Amino acid sequence: MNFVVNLEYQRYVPLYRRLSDALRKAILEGRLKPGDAIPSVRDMATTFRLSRATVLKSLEDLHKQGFLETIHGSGTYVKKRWPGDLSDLLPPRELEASDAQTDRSAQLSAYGRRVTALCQAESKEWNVHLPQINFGGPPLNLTPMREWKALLLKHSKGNDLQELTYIVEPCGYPMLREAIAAYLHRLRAVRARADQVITFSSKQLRLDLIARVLLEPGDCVGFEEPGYSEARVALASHGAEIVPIPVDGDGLNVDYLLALPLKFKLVYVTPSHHDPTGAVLSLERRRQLIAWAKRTGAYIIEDDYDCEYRYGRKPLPSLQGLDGGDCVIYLASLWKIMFQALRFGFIIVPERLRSVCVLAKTQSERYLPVLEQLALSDLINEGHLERHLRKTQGALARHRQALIYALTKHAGGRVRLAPESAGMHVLIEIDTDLSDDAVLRLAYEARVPLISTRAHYMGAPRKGEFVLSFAEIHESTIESCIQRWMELMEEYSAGGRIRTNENRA
Amino acid sequence: MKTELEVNFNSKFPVHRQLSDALRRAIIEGKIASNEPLPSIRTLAASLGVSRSAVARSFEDLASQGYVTTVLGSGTFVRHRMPGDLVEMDDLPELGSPGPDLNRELLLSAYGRRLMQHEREWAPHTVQDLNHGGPPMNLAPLAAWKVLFQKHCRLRDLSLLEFKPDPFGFPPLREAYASYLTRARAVNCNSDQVAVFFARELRLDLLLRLFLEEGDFVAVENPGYPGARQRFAAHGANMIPIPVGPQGMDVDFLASLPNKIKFVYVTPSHHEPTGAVMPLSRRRQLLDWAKANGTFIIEDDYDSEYRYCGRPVPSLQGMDDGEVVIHLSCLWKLMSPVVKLGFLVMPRSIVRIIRDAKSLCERDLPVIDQFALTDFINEGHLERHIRRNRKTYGKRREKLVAELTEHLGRRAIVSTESAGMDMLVRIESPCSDEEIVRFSQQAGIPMVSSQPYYFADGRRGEFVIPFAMFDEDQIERGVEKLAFLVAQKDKI
Repeated sequence: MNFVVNLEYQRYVPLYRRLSDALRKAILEGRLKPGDAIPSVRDMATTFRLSRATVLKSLEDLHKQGFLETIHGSGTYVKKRWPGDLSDLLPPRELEASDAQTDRSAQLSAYGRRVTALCQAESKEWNVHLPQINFGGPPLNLTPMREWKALLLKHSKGNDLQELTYIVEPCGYPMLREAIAAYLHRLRAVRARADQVITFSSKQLRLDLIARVLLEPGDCVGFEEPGYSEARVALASHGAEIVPIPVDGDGLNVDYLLALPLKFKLVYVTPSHHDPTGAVLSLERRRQLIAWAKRTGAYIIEDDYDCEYRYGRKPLPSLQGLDGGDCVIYLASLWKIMFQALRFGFIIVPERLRSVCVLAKTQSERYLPVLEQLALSDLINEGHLERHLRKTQGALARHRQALIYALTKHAGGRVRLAPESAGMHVLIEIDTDLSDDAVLRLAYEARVPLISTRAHYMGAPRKGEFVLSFAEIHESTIESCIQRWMELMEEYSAGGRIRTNENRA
Repeated sequence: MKTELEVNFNSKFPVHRQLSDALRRAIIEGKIASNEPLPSIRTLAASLGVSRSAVARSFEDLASQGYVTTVLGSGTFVRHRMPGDLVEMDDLPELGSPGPDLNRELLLSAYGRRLMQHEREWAPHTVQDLNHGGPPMNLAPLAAWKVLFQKHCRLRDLSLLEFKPDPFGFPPLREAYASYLTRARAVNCNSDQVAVFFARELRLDLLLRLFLEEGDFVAVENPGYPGARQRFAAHGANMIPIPVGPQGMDVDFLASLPNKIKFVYVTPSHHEPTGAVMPLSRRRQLLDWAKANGTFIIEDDYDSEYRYCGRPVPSLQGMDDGEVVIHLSCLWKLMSPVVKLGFLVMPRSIVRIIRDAKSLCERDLPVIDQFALTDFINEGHLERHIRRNRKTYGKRREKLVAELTEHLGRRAIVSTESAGMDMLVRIESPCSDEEIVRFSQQAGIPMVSSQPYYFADGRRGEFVIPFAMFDEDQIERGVEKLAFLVAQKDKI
């Protein structure tokens, strides 16, 4: 029996009583549930190092007290309904409410206080999401799920699992790191050796690690405005002084950054596909940014998120590739092609930051999922990933075309699309007198995956600006969804006008 | 093409993978020039003695990655423009060439600098030795686990994944684990106080980040688990070593300290490395002291599952009303290679802040692993596994004690505490610690010195033997050989 009872010595209380008391306590506290089998006398005697007579006596007691019942030939059980059970008369014990909570906020560190403040500010739920499984990623029929599962199964069957699982490599399975370095070189012109690649089991840990080893509270971090709010919160939680840098059609406004009289520690950019506007950082600006970073000793965090799909535009090399990995920390993940549940994240660090990052990694995450790493290295090395990319490129381009067509046809000039040509979503501006919340609710009703850009802004958000993810809606239903959405908006804004007229009257 | 290709038929990689990996490497390294034709499928297959389809598959994989291109009726060629050669990449500096002379090391944060100070001791390869002591592979519950894992791999279509994952883990798993802890460790908790961590190291790390400022005092056991000490040091804590006796941490000493202590780190159920178990009276004393001082107790309930004699002791957490004890546990000692998840049971008053902080650094957890583990616990495999192994390990321990007494006699002093998977032994001999460790490796029962567990002045001649790793035969032969080697040295 794997059940611990407290048999602490008490004066004048015989051992059998202590056992029965402990068992009773367990029953009353619900650790032993009605219907649970009580181990045999012999079993308990060996587990607790008691004589059988002692156990027998205490069980007899509980029996008499009506806590236990014996079913002949089967064993002893906790009675379904034991004495004093008023559970059907009383409401269930609400632990949350009854337990007095100690206020621990005074004990928090500066980091703890920052996290509390940031999370309170961010906890306002801006968006009503569609019940979408793979939010922000491709629809499930466009993920290489079959190949992935086949590889996972293959590796879980392997008999050498035993030796493989003992790999203690905090930065990831060497073959996977090699595969990632080669893959990113092919796709994004990243130039790195495998040992500069650090694998994380969770995407969030990447920025957390970088911030921890580099940032002191009060250090300046340049951040795109608007920009990816999650990254901003992560950096701010480590005390970064976030300096918003405006973004235009060519991505981050580097001139503006250069003109600031501040000493920057880090700059966070999404050059391949800016979140949310979709702007691509121009080559000119890329060079300017790198030259500036080299001159001032700042590091650039290049979050190369959503870089895989491009429509009719030649890809630009990553900042990391242009720089050769001297001042750029490159963040990569595969979930945009695969699915959310593939949690892996990767960073590529400059050589001089390698040892400190490896140490920090060891202090926060030493083991990585083994089977997934094996499966992922196969998925890349056997070409499945790139085959899949090529296959879905066409499908996504069609989704995008269908969306643009539907918006031009049904929105009648009320919706402006931001000029971009990459990624899985577009930025749109809607010209309407409905509130943003109303627009979101109507989109939800029409099953259009729309989110507001409010969370992206540090300063005042822009009204009527939204991100529409075209990857998620099925190609054949895009038009009807958009049409329905536009009709709903029409109806409601008309309704709104009528109401205001009534009010005036 | 001058590259030597070789195929190893005993490799775990299929032939086509070996070929494509070798060719890719050759192309990247420039051994095969661009525009150079690859040999035809037929010739290559014949010369290597492999099937044509395997060669064709490897060419296809390389083509899909953009390294080669097939011209119909002419052959397969290495591409002129390699993938990754994007615009204007020609006049770039060499890989890794340093920029202007800026000492970037100075730009690290205080945390980063503390890590770099300990670069040598903390580098992962040295830490690995201390991980010594997981379960032996052949006793890991691999078969049962595989069945469950594969079942979920096949059945769960992703539509069952929660769209917004809970940073604390899959709720049914938390429920199952909470009830396991209640049954097995008398932990007093509800599933909403349980957090699942994939990165086990992150548990302590998060707690320290949230509650500790640089320079705050923490009390740790001396000797004690070095991994935890590293984390305290990395966060700039002022560590106060508290001596450990046969009854665990010396609480009187702790209570006599004048400092305001933020955390006490204890392993009361099985002290690392002495194996001491803290008796109930002392646990109460510790709890009372912590409550009076507003100190958090971090109870690392590590390796508490196996006890070979005496009664199991309930956890500290269960004796508390749930406000000062933070309970850490993991399945590492039980099923290390298959499941390495860590669990944290926290007081209600800090659930909110831990949730916020965790969602900033580890929000997603492995999905299939969590599904499989839930079943593993709920179907009773875990407890069955513990029961079965307890018997085996108990025998191994007895054997070890018997062999040590037989062969080393008075030279070996064994700690009396009979729990866990390793045992502390004092060996009195003229040999140095390094020699004994080397002898033990030669004897096939590698043990480690207990020195790293101590703050300073470690004790000479004290060793940790992970007896659970070795079967009884190994122990018998190993101890005999070790005794022989020691005795030989003695004579010289």
